Amino acid sequence: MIEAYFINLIILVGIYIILAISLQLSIGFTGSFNLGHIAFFAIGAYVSALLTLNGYPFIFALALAGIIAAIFGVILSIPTSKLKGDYLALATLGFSFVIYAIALNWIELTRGPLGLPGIPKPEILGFVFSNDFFFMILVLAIAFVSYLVIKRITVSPFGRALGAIRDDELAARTLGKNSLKLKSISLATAAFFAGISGSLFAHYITFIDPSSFTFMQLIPILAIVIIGGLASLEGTIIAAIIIVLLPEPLRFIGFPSSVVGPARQIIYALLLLAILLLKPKGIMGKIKLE
Amino acid sequence: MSLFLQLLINGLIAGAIYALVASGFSLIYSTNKFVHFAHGATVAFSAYMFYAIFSLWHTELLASVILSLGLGAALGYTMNFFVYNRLRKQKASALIQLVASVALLILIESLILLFFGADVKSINLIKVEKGLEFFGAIITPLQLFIVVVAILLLGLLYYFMKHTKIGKAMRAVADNKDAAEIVGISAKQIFAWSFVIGSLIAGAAGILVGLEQNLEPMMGTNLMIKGFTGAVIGGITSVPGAVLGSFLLGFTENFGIWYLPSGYKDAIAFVLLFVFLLFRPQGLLGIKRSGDRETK
Amino acid sequence: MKRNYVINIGVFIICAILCLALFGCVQQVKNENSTKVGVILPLTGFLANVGKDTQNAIELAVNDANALTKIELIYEDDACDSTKAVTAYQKLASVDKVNFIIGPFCGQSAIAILPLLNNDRVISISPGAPDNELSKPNDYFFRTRIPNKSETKIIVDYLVSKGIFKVAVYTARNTFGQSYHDSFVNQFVDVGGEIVFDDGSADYQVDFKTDLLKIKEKNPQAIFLVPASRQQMGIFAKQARELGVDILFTGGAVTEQQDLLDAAGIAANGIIYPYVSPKNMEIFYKYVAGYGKIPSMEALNGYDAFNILFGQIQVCDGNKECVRNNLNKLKDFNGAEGLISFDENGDSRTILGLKQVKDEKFVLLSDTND
Repeated sequence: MIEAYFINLIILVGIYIILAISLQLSIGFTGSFNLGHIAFFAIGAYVSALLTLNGYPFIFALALAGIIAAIFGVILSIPTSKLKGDYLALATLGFSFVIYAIALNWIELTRGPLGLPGIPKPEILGFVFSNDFFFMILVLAIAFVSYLVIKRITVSPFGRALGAIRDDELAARTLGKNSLKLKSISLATAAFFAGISGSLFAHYITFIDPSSFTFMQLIPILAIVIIGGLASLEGTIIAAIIIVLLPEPLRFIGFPSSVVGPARQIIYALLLLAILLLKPKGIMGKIKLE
Repeated sequence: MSLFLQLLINGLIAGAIYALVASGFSLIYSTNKFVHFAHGATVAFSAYMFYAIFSLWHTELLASVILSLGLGAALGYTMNFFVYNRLRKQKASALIQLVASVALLILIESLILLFFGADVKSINLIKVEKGLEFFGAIITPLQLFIVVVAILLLGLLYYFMKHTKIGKAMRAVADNKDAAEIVGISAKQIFAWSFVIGSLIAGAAGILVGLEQNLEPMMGTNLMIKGFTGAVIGGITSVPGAVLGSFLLGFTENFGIWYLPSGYKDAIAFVLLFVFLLFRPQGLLGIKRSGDRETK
Repeated sequence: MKRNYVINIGVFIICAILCLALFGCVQQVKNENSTKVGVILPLTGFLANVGKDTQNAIELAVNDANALTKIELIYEDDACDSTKAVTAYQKLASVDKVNFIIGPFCGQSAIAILPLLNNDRVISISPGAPDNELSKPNDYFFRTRIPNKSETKIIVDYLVSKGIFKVAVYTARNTFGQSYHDSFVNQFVDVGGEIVFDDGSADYQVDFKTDLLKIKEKNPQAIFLVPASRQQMGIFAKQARELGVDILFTGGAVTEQQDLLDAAGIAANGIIYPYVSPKNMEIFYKYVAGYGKIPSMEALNGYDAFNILFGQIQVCDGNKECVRNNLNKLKDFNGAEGLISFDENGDSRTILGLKQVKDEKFVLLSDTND
């Protein structure tokens, strides 16, 4: 039964991969410093949870989780389209705080701080994914499909246009690219996948509350995107595996229990710094964001 | 009237604390051009050092203050020396520096947790009692002291930036690093100085907050987020702007949650942020950076 | 070239992880004669101090029961985060193969792993997690900690007995506080009380001055206060005193902790809260002697959780179903928290009394002259 532990980790890796590659689409490929990604994750989680708790089928909930998140992506992209660099980052960060506040305070919808317990496991065509092993397969399958889709996007003409916007938006517009439309679609796509990963998260942990969707939760995702290397999906995937699995061996090193808590965080931070100092362009990064 | 005055005072006190954090942070940002989140750790570090030196080892008050400030400045300098300089040499992007600063923040706060424990520490310098009353509004002597000290320190900082050689060099580097180097300013030295000065102010913030609100290992992160918001609202590249933005944040938060439930406090800050970024991204007093805000 | 270097690092890390995991496996094979018990506590995060307290108390219990050779405790930190709690649980359940867990401490963690406990048939006794949500029959989850609704009931009764019907409520904006909030509001309104102010604090909030101003304006006769942490409660009380908010303060059982006194000083005086009664003071003093501070209620709950579990493990020779049956029938166990019995929901049915903070000490209400 030792596999249950590893299965748990692989599921988390899968969820983080989807979240991270979608953020990579925004930051690395489109050049949009999107720090509000957690908001889309949260929206996806809540939408999926609420729908399935009210009897709707999982596939429907999953799809809607992505779609509604994508709609919010479009909504966010409109006022922020003129912003760049740090300013965009801050505005999107602000958005995630607003979503958090709504989740916390709109008690009629989200039950506020009490959260939503008892979220059912996914059920597709009568098959219930109550066994974690099958859930893991589901997550990995969705992660793989997400990777393929996003990869396809990045190598398509659309993706190249995004790259042009990232490198020099003014020039791209001179060449006739409608940067607002392209950025909106890009952000909506990123939000869509973040919403999907949020749904998977909700159905795995079976309980969500606002505390799972704060800015602090974004930090590991951001770290993954950077360490993986900007504009590299493959690097992002490797980085996701590393970041999720990094603290785990530390459980097995026998620290005295009085030191266990902070010691783990310390080593995690040190390792992160080591990676940043030794390889700041990321594992497989192709570009640098100024 | 007294209600309005009380809200004003509450905002003033909160704003003063945010301003102390934001000014040091903004100084570092404008000079180094990246977000130094670990600034919050400097605040917490100085607070804990003050606690250790003053409360635990019973050192005399003034000496404790000076030592704590010095240690805070030393921490800032060290972070720059060992981490940021190396990253600069590797031509790391601002985003990388940001992530590195977050790692530093986690590292230092965890070390504080390890050495001091997670329980609340109190520096019991002042007795708890009802504050002084002005026209129906109340403020305690310590709170008044915080506001006064904050204003004094910020005034000192302003003087420093405008009239001293190093201050002027810092502004030069902030404006245009390359041009400054041509004129003979060592950017590397100025970077180091920005961390020293910025961290000194952070240290002051830490000590004052420690006295007013007690110490706990996460205190740095929370203050940093507020200070950061204040800096952006006021203009992240402008130190006076950061100060102004912080006071504005303090007032808006307190007046805002008069009408709204407390849970919206952070949302208020960020709605403000959002609005500013849409209509005035350089903040109140910042200067529009050419080529990076608009893509006309 | 660079690519190879990077792939090598990746491979190395994965090997390291697997090696250490195997190392963990080998370790567990070695100590076969002692029963493993997992412990899930917040050792980092904003409840780290209470987590540490509880850890101290559990270690004290192990020593007192001479259980060092018979029980192996494995601590995992969940930082009060549901995702981390799930991972911690999976590690304990599948790698260490524990059948018994003390914890998790936090409500959201317990809610998250409850289905896993039931599915894997792992027994858990939590010293915390008072959320009403966890009051469910026929499961593998027990609590030595009294559920919120028992605490709030006694406060409501007290307020009514003093003729207080206008109250402000200030509770943390998380599962913990909200659970208290809902119990209190429902019970108080049921007896005809009026809630004139209803709001709460964010986890890291340290500035309550404007909240206090709002409360002052509404003129309540008393306030029911359960912030996110004891230091918050202390700071709130301190700022209340400074702003001249001089009403009756009532809180939950979590009020009794050193951190409150440290943070508030004399401002803590007068707070009334429910507490278990009678209490075994011997263990209380032992903790103070050993660790230099007053144990929090959850710490003592942890002490009892260990002893209850240990006792049953001995009696049942480690058999899970036997332990579970006995726990379901537990009656009048003599713990640090008085006499503990579990009801059909696995909730503790300890008798409660009222206490008050007086002269910066925690005393029984009947000891005061009010």
